[in-house]
Amino acid sequence: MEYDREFLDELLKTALSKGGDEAEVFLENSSITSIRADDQRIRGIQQGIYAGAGIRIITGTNYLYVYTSNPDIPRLRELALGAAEAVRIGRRGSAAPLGDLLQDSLHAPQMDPSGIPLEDKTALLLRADHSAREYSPLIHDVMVNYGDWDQGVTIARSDGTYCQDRRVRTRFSVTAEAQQGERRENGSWNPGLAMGSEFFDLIPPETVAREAARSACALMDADYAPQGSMPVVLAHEFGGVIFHEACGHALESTSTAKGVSPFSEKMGKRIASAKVSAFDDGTMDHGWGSSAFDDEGVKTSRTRLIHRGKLESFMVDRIGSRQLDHPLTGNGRRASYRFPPASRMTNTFIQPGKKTPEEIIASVERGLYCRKMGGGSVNTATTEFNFAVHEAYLIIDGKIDRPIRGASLIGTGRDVLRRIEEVGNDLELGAGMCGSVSGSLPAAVGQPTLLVSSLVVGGRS
Amino acid sequence: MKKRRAQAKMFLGRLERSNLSSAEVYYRETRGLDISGYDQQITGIRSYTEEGLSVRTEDGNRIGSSFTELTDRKHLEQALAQAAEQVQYLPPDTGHVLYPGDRELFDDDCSSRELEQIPAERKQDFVLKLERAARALDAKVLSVPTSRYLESHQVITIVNSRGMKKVQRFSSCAALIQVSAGNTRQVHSGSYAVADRVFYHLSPLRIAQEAVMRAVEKMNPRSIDSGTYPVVFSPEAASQLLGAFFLSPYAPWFAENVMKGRSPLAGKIGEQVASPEVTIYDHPEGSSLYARKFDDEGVKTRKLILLQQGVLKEFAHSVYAASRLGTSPTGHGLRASFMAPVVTGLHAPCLTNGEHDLEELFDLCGSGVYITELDGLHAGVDVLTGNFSLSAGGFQIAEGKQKKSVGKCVAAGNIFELLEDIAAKGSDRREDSLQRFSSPSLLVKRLSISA
Repeated sequence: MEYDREFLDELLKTALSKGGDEAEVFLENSSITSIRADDQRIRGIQQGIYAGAGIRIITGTNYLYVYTSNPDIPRLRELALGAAEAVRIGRRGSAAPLGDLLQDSLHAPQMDPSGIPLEDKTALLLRADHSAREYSPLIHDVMVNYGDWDQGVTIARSDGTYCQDRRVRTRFSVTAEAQQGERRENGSWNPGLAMGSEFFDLIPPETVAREAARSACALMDADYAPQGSMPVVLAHEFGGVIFHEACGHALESTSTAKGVSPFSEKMGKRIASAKVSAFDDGTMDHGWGSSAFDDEGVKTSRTRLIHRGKLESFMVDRIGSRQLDHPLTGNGRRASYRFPPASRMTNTFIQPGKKTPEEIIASVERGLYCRKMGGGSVNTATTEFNFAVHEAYLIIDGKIDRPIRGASLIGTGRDVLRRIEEVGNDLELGAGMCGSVSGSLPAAVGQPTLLVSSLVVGGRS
Repeated sequence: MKKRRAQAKMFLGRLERSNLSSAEVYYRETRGLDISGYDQQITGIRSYTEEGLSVRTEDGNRIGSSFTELTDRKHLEQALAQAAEQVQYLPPDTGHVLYPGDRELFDDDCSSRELEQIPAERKQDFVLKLERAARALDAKVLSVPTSRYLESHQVITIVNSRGMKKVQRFSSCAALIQVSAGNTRQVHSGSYAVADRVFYHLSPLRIAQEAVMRAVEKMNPRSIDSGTYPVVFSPEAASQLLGAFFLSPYAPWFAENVMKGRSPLAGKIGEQVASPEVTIYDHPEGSSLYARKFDDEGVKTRKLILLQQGVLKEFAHSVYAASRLGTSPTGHGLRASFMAPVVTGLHAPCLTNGEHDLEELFDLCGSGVYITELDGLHAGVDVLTGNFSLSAGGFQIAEGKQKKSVGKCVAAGNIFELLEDIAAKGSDRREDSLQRFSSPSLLVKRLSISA
């Protein structure tokens, strides 16, 4: 599915022929391979091709978006014409000729997954299954998933922007279940990076499997989580989901431009503890949420969102930029051609401080240490967030005590950012899938170990 | 349907020419419309056509699978070749067979041409009316962040070289609204969604009223102490919670999970595993938007009773589980999309209505918590163990009446214990919800609440 510059120019002109300020063509041609195994057997292999195109016409701060899968030249012409007819505001827009094609290989894979035989890929899953079972005789069930994605996008815009980006991502996931009598507990780890099969040199299947098995076994003696407000220490890596949910979504221009985010009017003002500086960085080397360009053809960037507690920038897409008169930050993202882009996080994290995790834990008399977090969600209008804790421990007299299970943490972004009392020196990022208005996207979350003075813990004891 | 018959015939012809002994084409096409409004402007229109096909090839109890959104002959042949190649890397498994077609079926009962013929301007006007209605209802409404109309028309075609030839069309429309209400000291949000097949059944005023009421009644919350309380779940909250456990591919009510040792319900058919108040069945032949004549493996659907007055009656079987266990599939092999693998799932499950109205449930509860919202269901439930810990919102119940909002809290428990603890149920199950699982209000004897 390749189209020449002249044809894309023609589509943009057609799209603006009945009105509109800007037009954009987004073409996608992607392939995936996913493999799943359980019960020590390969259960299924899925390979496939995504191919589609979307055309967006922006008028003021509003948009019309039309898309089709299986795009061929007649269908794309029809799509552009249909979009123009639907806009029909009488004020004809203008399209500049497309500029030079910009191509980037920020994250070109060293080992292209398309060149790796299926046999080798299936072997990775069976190695993981074996390692998880070897970790402990308590492990009785193991589920393993492998995925590689190769997304190719072309973006052509009426302002002359013309670029192509290739994003290769690999993810490996293991869930292990431990059983003793009637008691069952499970653990999982799902690392992912923007790279090819060299991923497995950095993170071998055995490492993922052992971590999943360790987490499942650690919970076998866990009591139910306590209830009520208490100090909470959040471990590094996927603990960053707290910033992602509590604050990140409310800093996306999709929320701030409508004025519904409590941070809408807070630019330059203090919104967090002075110990907090936070970034969104779409350029991070092999970051799960990285790309060379965003899905509106803007170069990705490293954006400081909060500096020593003060709000410094939102994450802004093109429509958000028009609404807020704010510079673009390279955050216009979409899951696929099926969605118009929206401002979305890429790799978002809190900058490390100076204290070691051990020093932070030692400073807590009684509280909760959350070692592994699950996902979460947020209401951006109120910043009420929640997230699940998969593996946690009580802290008693500054020391990690017994394991606990089945906890959720809730709070509001406004409060929790101000209650961050300590920031550790051990920043790490974890891979997640973030669901929002423009679909489910790879987004990395990260933080060093943090101490929050008080959070509501929802448990059963 | 003429076009669809011809397309099915064309797919069968391609399969015949492929020389594969057993192969299947699953094709899905969706046309849709999604209109958003804000501040009395149409801010976004998404109009689309998407199609794609998935092929499965069977060889010696091994199934390869490949999909493509490029549906021309060349790419279909490539997909078939790719799927056939995969087979050598898969171990044989007696469950891996394609379902032989029982009869041809071309079903059009659930589609609506009328919906497509309504002009787009009318649908845009609906979105503006929805927002206007919400703003006019109460001065405490600060903004309406979401006001949206959605419409979709879908065709599913399944053919295989074992005689399957089935086509079904569906249509639906839906309206969603989210309202923020409050003052300088507090902001609360309320949302409501309605789905139907008939555009004129969507009432902007009624939908707006529900959302505004939900936002406004949360004002001035009063925190409660953490503890264990009797709880009344609203229909939405009960449907969300039960849906998380009944709709997951890892649900213990699915034969494949029983077979793999993942279900604590193994060997308990005929036993009392829930309160006598609990009857749960899947009714794909009903009036639900999720009703289907056949599943994504082409198996005719039927009513499946999972729990009857608390007694475990039957497990759902995909073709895989049925073949492994030597029984018949129940029509519960589902795909999330044509790109996704077939897994066991339920179409339109429901917990049957009781006889109580909400006031009677509050009266029976005496003092406790009325939960109307749950969040974080994608992360806060563990389907394998049944444990859950979820962000919740609702109201205090005191002296048998609904009192102040309790703000945000956490509800934690175990789904198997909760099903045993259902003491009474309402008569208010919604038929027009977007939620796939449908439950009435439920009174549960005890649940841990943290605040």
